[in-house]
Amino acid sequence: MDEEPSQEVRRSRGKRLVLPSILLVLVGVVALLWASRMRIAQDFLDRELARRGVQASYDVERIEFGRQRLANLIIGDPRNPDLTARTVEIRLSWGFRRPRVSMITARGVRLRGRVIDGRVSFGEVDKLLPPPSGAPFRFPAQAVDVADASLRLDTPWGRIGIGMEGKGNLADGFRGKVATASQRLSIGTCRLSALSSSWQVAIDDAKPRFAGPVRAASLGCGDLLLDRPTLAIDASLAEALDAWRGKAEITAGGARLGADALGTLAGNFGFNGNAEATRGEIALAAQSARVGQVASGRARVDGFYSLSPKTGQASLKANVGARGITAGPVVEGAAGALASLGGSPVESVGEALAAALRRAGQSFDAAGAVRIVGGNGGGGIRIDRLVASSRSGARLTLKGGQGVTYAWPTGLSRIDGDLALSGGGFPTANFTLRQPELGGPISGEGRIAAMQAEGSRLALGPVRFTAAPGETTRVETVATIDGAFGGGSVSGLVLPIAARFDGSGGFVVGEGCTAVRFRALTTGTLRLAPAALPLCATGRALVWKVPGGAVAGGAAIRAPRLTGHLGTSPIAIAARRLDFGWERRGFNASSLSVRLGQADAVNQLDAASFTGTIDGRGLNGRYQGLSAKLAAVPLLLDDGSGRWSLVGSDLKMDGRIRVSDTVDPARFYPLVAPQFRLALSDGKIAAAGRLDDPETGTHILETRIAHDLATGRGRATLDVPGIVFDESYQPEQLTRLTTGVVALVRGVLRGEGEIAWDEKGTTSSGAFGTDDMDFAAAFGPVEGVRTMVHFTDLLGLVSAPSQIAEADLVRAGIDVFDGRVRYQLLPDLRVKVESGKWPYAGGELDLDETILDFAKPSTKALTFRVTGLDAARFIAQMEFSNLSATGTFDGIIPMLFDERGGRIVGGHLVAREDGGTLSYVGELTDKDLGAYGKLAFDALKSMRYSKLAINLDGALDGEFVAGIELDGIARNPALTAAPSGGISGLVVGRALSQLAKIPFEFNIAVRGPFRALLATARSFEDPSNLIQSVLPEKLREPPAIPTADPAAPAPAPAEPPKRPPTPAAALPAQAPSPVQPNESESVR
Amino acid sequence: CVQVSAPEKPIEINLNINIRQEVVVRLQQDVRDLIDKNPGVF
Amino acid sequence: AFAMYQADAAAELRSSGQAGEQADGYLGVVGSASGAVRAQVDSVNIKRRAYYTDLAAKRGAKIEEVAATTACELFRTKVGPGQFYRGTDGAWKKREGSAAVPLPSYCG
Repeated sequence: MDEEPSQEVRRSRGKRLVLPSILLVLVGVVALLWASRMRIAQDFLDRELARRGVQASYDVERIEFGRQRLANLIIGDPRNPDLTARTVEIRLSWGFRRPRVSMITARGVRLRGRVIDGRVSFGEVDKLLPPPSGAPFRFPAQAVDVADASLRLDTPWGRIGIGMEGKGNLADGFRGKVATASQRLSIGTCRLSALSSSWQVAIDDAKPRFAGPVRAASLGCGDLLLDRPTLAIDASLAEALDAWRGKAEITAGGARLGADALGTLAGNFGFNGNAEATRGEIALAAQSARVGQVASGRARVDGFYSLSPKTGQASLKANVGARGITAGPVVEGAAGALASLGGSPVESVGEALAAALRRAGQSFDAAGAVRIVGGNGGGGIRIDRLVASSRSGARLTLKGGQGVTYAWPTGLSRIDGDLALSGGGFPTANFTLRQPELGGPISGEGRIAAMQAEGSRLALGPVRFTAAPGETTRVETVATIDGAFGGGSVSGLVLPIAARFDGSGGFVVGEGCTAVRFRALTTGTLRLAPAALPLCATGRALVWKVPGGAVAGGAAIRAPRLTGHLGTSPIAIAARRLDFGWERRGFNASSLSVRLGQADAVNQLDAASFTGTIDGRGLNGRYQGLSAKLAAVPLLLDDGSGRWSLVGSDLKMDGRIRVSDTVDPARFYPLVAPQFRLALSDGKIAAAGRLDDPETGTHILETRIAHDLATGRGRATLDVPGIVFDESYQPEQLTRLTTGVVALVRGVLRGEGEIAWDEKGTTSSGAFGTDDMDFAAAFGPVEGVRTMVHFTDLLGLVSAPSQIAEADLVRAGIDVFDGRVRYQLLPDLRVKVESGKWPYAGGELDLDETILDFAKPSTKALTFRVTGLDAARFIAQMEFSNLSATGTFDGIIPMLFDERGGRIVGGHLVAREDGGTLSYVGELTDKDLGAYGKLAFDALKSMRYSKLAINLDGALDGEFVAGIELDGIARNPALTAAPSGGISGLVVGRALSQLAKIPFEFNIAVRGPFRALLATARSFEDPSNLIQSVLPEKLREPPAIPTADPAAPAPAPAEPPKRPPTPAAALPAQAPSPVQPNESESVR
Repeated sequence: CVQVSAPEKPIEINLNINIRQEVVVRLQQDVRDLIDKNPGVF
Repeated sequence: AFAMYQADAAAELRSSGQAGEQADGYLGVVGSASGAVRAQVDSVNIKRRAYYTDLAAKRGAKIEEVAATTACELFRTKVGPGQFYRGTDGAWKKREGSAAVPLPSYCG
């Protein structure tokens, strides 16, 4: 805020020139009059005036010796005279040779002048003046007595009125008063309004001296404006008026320079010098001051100044003081910067410092020694000494060294001295700094006391400043931090800090690697044990800023290892690499691994990448390639990706994950959960999600898992709303257990299960079933199965006893309806069939209790008890249209299955003792049966048997033997119509009728593939070929004693549901087939 | 009267599968469709 | 995840040499084979039997007639070179190169 010194100078020179010219003019006029006095004659004067072309008029009042008096002198145009004077009196004194004017007295003088391009002109009066000589101006040695004289001067800057009175020799001894007045003056960029001054003037040995006030309504130059300035000047000028010395009092209502302002100014300053350089003391006090955003109450400056009006250079060396300074906005900037510590453990220390700064900045007094040098080319301010003390108790002192220098326009600064800060909430700190050149490297040391606020503490070790290459300053210290951050807290965090500053705003903090240590870090119930982590910069430094650029930064910790406790469970966290970004305030962990829990029950969590950013409340981010294993649950979660958030120690995860069975070989193929949610808070895990088949997306089950890390107890519910099996989804896509057991499943499986685990172990239960399922089994398709299995150990696939399964229909070659089996699933994939009951052909098939082992190849024994099989119902069911029989059969069919296949061992069906009838009403296809063949055949038409037993043995799909023992007699020989006509017919007829009465005893062995027997029995229509092969050779010759054993159709035993695992039928050699059974099976 | 005694040796019935050719021919097209419709199984 | 359930399980078994087509229309295990292969063969045969049962009922034929007819087709089109087959004589044979597989007499 230095004023433009040169402008000041120009204005004063202008006033100074005007004054002497007035005197000069008067002297000139008087000398002329006197010279012509001798030849005083009006005409002479007129001639003289005319000679000089001066228009003038005057009255000569008296010319006498020693005194001449003129009156009403008018020079110039009478209507607009340049000069008028009421009376002019000249007194002469005779010296040696020539008369000398001893005194000039003038009254009522009015002079008008104009300043044109820098020169003063008085119109006509100029002609009376001696031509300008090159010599510097000097006051003539002439005594004058002037009163009531005034000059009106029109200048390009405005009109000035000057009044004068005074007596004495102009060169030495003159005493008088000069008053000036001007409504408006504008000189260059300066504007004065209502200017007035009244000076006492004294001239001693040609040096004029003024003293008296100068007032103006306002004085403004450029953007400097003085309000109601008054100046009391006491100055004395050199003879040539080109040098000055003196002092002045100044008061002003206020001063404003642009935005800066000083209120009610008062002070004084001395001045001594000339246009080249003026110097002097200055003492200025203002009631109030505002510089930029800093405002203060009373402020004062006293010291020495020097000013060079010509070059505009100015300098000030002064003690400066101000009281009640408020520097709100400036302080606010710094306080704001401290706010950037928000979210970090030293947040509250930052807030305390900001508060101390704000309180201190509200009102403080400052005093110091200042040196200011300035000019239009720039300048600088140097604070040699400064003491600032605030009402808040804060106190800042700067002393010693070269002080603090700030130069503009370069903006370079220099700190060289001892800084001390204390009180008002600030930590006691003192710095000794050396900075030899402006903006150059700084060296020195500083100590800052530890800062504590609301449970967070920041202690800084000694701060060392050393000069570093590239004109930079290296700053080193060690920070020890304790405090809370985002829901957690850290204690004993030791952070070595090494930074470099380049003095123009650029800085680099933490190049290379720094070893960061902490004693404890807790967040929620997570407490980490002491750890040391090598924090390495990924870019140029941990944090850096290029002059004028933005703050950037990045750090990485290679192979971090952290251990500690989450609640009571030990935890170990490690990663291949942990990266921090400054801009995003985020981090990125690669191949993170977390182990949680006691040695024998460790829960694991691994993630290929785990990234997160720090937001106000806590952390959140994304994860990829995540896998997790809860110790107690035999499930593995992997291939997970999604989002997570951590507030305090409350972790939430949400995303896709794959669930697979950890038992080998797996009991179910991996399932996928598209939207699995997990939440961990105060040691309790809660997770839920739906699991689908990855390939087809079929919805399998919903699960909710709850686990308490502290107690290790937990529970998982499995809810199967309904798995739909059809062409698009088969059980073998869900599990390997059904492959080779069932296939082509159609139906809905539903149910609920629960797994619970605690320190004693894991239990699981549940009920799963279906109410209408069809599937194909080894023995053929089964339809309409209803069952509900109540598991006592779901994971072990063990059920409670007496589970009921009903089947509408088993199409095992023979259709068996309404089966009902009671079973129990035993450990290790074994099935205990407690009982099985099928109503069949009027009787019943009962399966004995047996245990089937599906885990490993083993022999499975199924023993069917046949009771009350009604032959008639059986044949009706088999739809043998041309066969009928009666009788009730009981028996046993023990079957054995192993990996080679199924076989019946010791099957035995016996007709009850009251026997039954058997008759075949089909026609005979093979005509050349021979007599006895026909006899046997006719016997079959209607036979009464008393004993019928069938033995069954052999492989289901291989060689099969059925032994049939049958004894019966033809019930009605008449029915065995003799062959018609002819002797042979008669003989045959009689033989046959005899034969008919003979009790037949058949003993037939049926051999062939069981399935063939089974199937053929269905379509067995015409036993003739059977008969053919039955008759012994002997019977084939005519009338030998018949020992015919006509075969009887073996009523095939009802086909119980069996499991012939390998249909690798060893087909008997292809014998010419005697029988051409045709098909008349009804369509099922 | 004449007693027909059960012969010591059980009468052998040899029931083998006789696949009738004309049935095979009749089923050929159905079977080809069955094979084409279920590639996994055949 | 469940290589077991494959669209071409039967073809896979035939080409693996662990199973071969039989004249009775079912797959047979060749030599000794693991439980898993045996379960695979069972799974194929269970489905074939269900299909044979349905077709037999629909066409009024015997299940093993449908099975035998299928065997003819399978011998003709599905047994690749070097793959096993078992004719009505019950012995496992290997198809030599591109020579046709001898068919049972009734195949026609």
